[in-house]
Amino acid sequence: MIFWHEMKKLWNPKVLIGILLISLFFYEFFLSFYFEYFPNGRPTADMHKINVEMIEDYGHTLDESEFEGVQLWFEETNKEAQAYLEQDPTARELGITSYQSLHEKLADAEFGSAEYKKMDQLYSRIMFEEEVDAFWEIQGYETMMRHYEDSSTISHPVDGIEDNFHSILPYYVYENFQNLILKTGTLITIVVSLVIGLVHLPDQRKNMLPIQYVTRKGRRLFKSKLIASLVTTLVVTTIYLGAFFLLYSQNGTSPFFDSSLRSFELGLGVMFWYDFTFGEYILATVTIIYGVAILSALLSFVISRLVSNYLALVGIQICVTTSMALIFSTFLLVRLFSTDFSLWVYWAWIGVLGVIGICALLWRNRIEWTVDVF
Amino acid sequence: MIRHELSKAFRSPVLYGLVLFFLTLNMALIVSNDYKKESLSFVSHVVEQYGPKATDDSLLKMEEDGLELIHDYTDRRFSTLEEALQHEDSFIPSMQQDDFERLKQLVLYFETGRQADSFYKELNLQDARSGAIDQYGLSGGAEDVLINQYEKAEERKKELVENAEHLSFFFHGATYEMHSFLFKEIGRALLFEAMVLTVLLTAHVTTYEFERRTSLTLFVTKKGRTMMRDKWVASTVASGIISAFVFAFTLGIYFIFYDYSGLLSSSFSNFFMSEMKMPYISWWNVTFTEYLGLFVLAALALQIVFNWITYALALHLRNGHLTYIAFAVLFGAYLCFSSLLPANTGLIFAGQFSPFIMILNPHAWFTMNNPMTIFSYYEVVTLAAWGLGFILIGAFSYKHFTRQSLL
Repeated sequence: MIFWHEMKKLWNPKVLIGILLISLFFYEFFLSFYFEYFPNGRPTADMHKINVEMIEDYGHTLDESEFEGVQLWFEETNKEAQAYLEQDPTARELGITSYQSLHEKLADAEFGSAEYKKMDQLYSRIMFEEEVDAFWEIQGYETMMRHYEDSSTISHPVDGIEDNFHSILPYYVYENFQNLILKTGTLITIVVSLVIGLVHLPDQRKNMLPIQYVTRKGRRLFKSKLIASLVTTLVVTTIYLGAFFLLYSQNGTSPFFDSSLRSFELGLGVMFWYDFTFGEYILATVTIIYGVAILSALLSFVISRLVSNYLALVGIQICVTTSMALIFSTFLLVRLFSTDFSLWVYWAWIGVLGVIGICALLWRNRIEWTVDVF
Repeated sequence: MIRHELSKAFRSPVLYGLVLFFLTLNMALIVSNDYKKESLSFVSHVVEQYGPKATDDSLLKMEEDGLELIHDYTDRRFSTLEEALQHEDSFIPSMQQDDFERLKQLVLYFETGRQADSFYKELNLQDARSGAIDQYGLSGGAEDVLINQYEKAEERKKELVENAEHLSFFFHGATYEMHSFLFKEIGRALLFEAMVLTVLLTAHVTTYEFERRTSLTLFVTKKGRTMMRDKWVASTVASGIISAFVFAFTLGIYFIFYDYSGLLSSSFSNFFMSEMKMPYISWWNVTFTEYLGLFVLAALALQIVFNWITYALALHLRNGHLTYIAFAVLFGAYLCFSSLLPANTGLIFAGQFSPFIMILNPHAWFTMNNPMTIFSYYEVVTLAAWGLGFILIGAFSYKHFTRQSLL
């Protein structure tokens, strides 16, 4: 069948090896960091532990009475820190009994004085040399509890959004996913453009069209090529997204999938039009990526038919992919459906991009039936 | 014949479209810092009124003017700005907006200028060195190289203080970050755009006959395969022209948009420009304009090296599309390779001498601010070594091409 022949041409081993290598380098330079360093450093790692524990014990929301429970945890950790300081000779000498007093005294002490130096040494010994868990956890608790208390003050001028912001979804989890999905989406756009760009051009360069278009199959070949391109795009996108989520599952963020985006740690930084859970939000970005992959495929499909050399093909594709990456990073993957823009802006752009893709295809399809191929 | 080859490069409308697209992006990038523009221009007045350098005399005059401004709004009389600012509640609430802005700016440059001398006296490059050693996990031979280089940096630091280079006025770096903006954000964008144009154009010209399937006709003519020599020259010239045009246009717009009057002859290694703890220090006593000139020259030379790399690839692959992919793969592979070099010998530094690494840190060119490339002739050596290497590879590839089967 013609379709399989077209598939064979698209899955050209030389190009595939190139694309595989480019993807590996892309992963190494842009993606691997967000897998290897998650959660990144302390106290984020400690916060992560606390957040996961909270979800295990209290579910996906944290109401006022449950928050009191967390405060009890915090006091326990504080006691651990106090116990550590009690057995430490330097701390006893300086009269430091708790994490808080260490902080206050360090702030009050005159910079450069002997006392300051001693305290500074004690502080860096506890935090950086011995990395005492309790102290880092206190930092994590403090940040989290401050956010929880501030969440009651979240007020926003936009109508229609009302929530108590009690959901548990930390900002670093959202940010990590956002960085990853932006880069993954960009990589998929590049790869699809590279593969689909070669659907017409090599045939045309070999002057195949006059032969192909007088066969029995004739100009319906255009349609076979289209189907082969779309199937290839879906397969490539699915493989890349599958690999991505396989890697992403190692980050251990699945406890948060059922948490609403309107959480007390996220609410202060970014607000969303829809009351999605994190899992639903991930699905929304996946849908966007499939859509944009098909759009890139359609554009590359048409461009590939229009141009007569590789300079033109790659030149136009660079403009398209760069624009796409800019659109991704301003709103279509990063902060998708956030209140940075009105809700209609997102749908208008999705509509415009869809119309561009479909119009380009329909226009060329109509011409293709009557165009002079000699 | 070179003329014909040139026309192959310049007759492609997509190339012009791409240039236009890049220029639009650059303009959007330039305008994105628009909000800084108004308060930026203050430093030009400073240079006009107090001279190009923050000497004791000009600082004294600045202080007097600042006090005069303050005394318009309060009955109290202060003898120094420092004293006045401790009692700022007595005059700031009653100040007019523009006077307040002026005072704020004046104090900013005055304070920075006053700290300059003592800052460089206390500036400890040993800290920077041990920070770099920790960060990159260097040991053994690599550590020795770095210790050696930082000793040279120390000497240069002393020299610049003697020359009073650090006292030249410039946009306040910690506030406006104009060096990063021009040389890192815009500079890096320019370099990558020019690289894309160079690679596209070179591969296009070199593989033109193969793409058109006229190779079998043309390469048997008398001129024949020697045409590849013309292609080499033509693509080099064309890359140079297109890159120069993109640079000239973008930088032209930049300097029309942002007012650098009075600063063009400021010493590059000044204290005002510093954005982080370590101030920018160039290896030579150059003014801002001279630095910009060096930067553009190095950037153009870099494109020529990319041009030669692409030429060699295209001669072997004889297919435009594969050449583009091969270039991208080579770029990525080199970066991976250089990060795998052992951190306990000087080799790790040898790996840094590459156009693929050089293009990533344009804001640190000719300076001692990137510990991995802290060699005074880093740029020159990189360009010369890779340039020479790819002239040789290009020549061999050409020799090989003249006697290989093209069927």
